[in-house]
Amino acid sequence: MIIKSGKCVGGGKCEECGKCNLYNTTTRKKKLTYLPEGFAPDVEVTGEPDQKRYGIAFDIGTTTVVGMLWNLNNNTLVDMIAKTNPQSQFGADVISRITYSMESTKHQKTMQDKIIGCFNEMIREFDDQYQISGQEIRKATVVGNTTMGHLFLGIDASSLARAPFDPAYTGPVQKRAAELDIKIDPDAEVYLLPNIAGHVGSDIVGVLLASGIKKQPGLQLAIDVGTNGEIVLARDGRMLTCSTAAGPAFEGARIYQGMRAARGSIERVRIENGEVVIEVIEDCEPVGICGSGLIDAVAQMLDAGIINFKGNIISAEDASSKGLHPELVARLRKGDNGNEFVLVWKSRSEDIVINQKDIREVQLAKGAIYGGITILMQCMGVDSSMLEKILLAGAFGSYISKKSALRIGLLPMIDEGKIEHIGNAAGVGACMALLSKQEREEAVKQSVEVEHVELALHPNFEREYLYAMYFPKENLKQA
Amino acid sequence: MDKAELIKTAHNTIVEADEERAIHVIDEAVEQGIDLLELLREGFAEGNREVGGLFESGNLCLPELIFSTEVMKKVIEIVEGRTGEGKEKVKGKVLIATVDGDVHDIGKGIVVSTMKSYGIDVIDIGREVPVETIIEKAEAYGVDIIGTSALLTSTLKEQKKLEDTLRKMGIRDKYKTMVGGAPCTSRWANRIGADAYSEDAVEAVKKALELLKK
Repeated sequence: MIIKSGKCVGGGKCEECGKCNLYNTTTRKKKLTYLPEGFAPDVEVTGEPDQKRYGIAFDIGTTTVVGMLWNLNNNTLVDMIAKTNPQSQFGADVISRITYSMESTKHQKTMQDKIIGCFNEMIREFDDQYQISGQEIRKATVVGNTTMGHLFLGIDASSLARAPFDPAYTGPVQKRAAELDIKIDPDAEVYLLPNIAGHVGSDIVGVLLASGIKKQPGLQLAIDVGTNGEIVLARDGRMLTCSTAAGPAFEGARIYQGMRAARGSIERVRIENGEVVIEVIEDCEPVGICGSGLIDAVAQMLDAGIINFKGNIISAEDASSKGLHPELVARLRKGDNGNEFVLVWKSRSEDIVINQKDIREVQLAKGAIYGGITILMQCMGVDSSMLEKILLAGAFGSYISKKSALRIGLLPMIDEGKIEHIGNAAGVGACMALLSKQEREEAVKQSVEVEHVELALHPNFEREYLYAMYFPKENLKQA
Repeated sequence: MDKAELIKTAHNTIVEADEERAIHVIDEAVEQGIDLLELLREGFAEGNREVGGLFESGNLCLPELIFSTEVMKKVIEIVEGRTGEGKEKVKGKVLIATVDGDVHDIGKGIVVSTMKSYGIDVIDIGREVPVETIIEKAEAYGVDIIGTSALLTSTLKEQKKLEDTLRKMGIRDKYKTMVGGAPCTSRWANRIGADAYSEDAVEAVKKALELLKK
């Protein structure tokens, strides 16, 4: 049920469709872009005082691209736009996109053109809405994971698709807008922040700036819960990082009735007293389930005894003999992909279910992230009891329920109060680099200081990954 | 335990990933003078097959599959060690590797164990193996089949490189080739000229045995 192409398949009736991956996710992302307290822009305003000066910060996510327009005369955020990354038609993950671009120089150019085209679309929309001429946009900064950075610059990314996964270049990259065909002031500086290492890119450098994690006291963990699942573990200035390639399960991909967070997706699930209570984005008829809803569903199903710690969905017979609430038993049945649990009964269309295969996908995704956290902690010689804070970054990270994340073992077991949502930190970091020369320098400095752990080559990762696929057992009250 | 019970228990030790018990079963079989290769084939290998089926249907999660595979590996190691003379029962020799640039080998490991349990001699030369080394080793060991595993769409092309290089060297007819791995398909296999494609370990054994008869 995942729409793979860039074409609208809902007949253009966006309001009713809800499954569209072209849907504008701007509103949800808007709430997540806020500069950290105490941040002070330091970029000098040159030129005529009445000359309009704007800047854009771009965050190229594998799945969603965000553009943030700043008025540089008074350093205020004018607006932002989020669009589905148009490269998605060539693959949901970075490896598929690299493979596509490796096939020919034409393909490589296509990938670059797609991103630049996306940028220019946003610029056009900003221009129209705010009566700006592109020329008045004088600066731009860009962040993205390592692959996104390479494809944006039109650089051969093939080394990233095979061990030991090295980038083709290091350091920040500065270009004139005209060189990249970005429709702003042709002489405008376009600054791509440096990557860290391997697949951990400038987006994580953005997270470092926005979270200020280097200067935070004690042991802190920052996770960008998305397709690539990057993690930073910091302690008194020392920072370790890795990329877990968690996969797009949290964005709704490879889930039977999974979808992006959009109108009609189930975003919250509670199971109480035999009832399944859901919340749907924009309060309409549910058509699928998005990442946050999926995590909730799994957590609730665990507590209700519908799935065991191995991730097996109980059969209706066993549920009945175990004394589960009859209305929950009624929701259990056998489907094409193993046992399934009905979340929403529908009369005129397919019931909305979570099936056995969906659970396995969640196990793979959360196992990768938890496994990555474990390895970083091993490398640093610490354990989770010492954690002061866990910072959840990224759009998905911002909507995930802390309780559910803990329950399914996505995060190490800590006090809920120690988990903080920090919004679209990568994008915020790009904004900070746009507005502050000091932050830019800090970005370059920290990108080199962070120690990168390549999980694929770490001897313990596979083992930790496997163990992490189990769900935490918990002493539960009987359903 | 009599032979039938031993075989049944052997089967279960794989499904339950119980290494200790598996070793006991082998010890007892040796004491009783029961053919270890038969025990392997009828008992342990059948358990391995059941585990594969349970995993495919979603009834077993990946860690459980791996833990069972590890017991299977151990069992094979022990049986091989004790039946050195049983080499004439070997059906053929397979060289297997994960291609250059790729570090995935969970699936390959399962294929290796399963093949061995069916009496195929398998030489696993590891991961990130360049085509030149694969061919070098194939020649050195004088194998019948060369099998390659690739788990990234980006490393899949190494399988084609192997085919092309074998042809260029004029030795393509000396070997049968098999391919596998998540992004690998039978269509890909046909396109590059590989002799067989297999989706999982059980199919790999089936195809390998067919190729060895030719």
